[in-house]
Amino acid sequence: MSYTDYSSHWQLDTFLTYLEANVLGSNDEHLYDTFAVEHNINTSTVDGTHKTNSITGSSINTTPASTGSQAIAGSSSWTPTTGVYQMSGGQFTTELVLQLFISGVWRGTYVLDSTPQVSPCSIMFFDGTNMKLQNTSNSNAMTIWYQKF
Amino acid sequence: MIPDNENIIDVIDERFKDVPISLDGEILLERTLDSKGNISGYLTISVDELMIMKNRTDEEIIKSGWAAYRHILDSF
Repeated sequence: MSYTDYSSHWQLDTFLTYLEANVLGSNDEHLYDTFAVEHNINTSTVDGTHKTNSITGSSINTTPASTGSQAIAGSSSWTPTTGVYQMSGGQFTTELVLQLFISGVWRGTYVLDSTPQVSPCSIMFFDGTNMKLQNTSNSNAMTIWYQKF
Repeated sequence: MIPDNENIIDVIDERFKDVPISLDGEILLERTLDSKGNISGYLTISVDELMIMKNRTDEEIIKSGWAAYRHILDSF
């Protein structure tokens, strides 16, 4: 199988123009539009950086793959499986740390601290291996509610 | 000396072959499940943290959510 490099903008423009003018008739323009939209192909994104695009509802499946809650006992950690999670909940008496396993060591920072009292409501990515949430309170359990996308 | 315990993750152990290697040496409390019954993650604790938990009173154990894991504390 060969691979065509469309990183050259004029080359892509030429291809799309040819496709629109010669391959697809007027009744098939929606196919061209769908192709371009579904694959996010245009001269500003074909380089693969997508740096001009925002992550919108049309870019992701907004229906959660799963939802649920996770109780995290004091001093213990939860390592979610791979996915993007929107989380909420937590208790003001608890402290939650996001830990990243980098260069053989767990390294963390607070995403929920009992002082000041804030509750986690965030979107985080987990790879199922090197990223975990730790309840650093040894006195209190906590419950996190989540939607996984 | 830490006693042998079947809950200590040893990635060489066949029973823990699907557990992330970064959790090697920690204590597996439970494999949590999502609403569809699939594994959604792992709940673990380090040996050091567990030894601290051992000195808690019954009331503190319940408040910290450790009542369900009391048998693990008692095994150390």
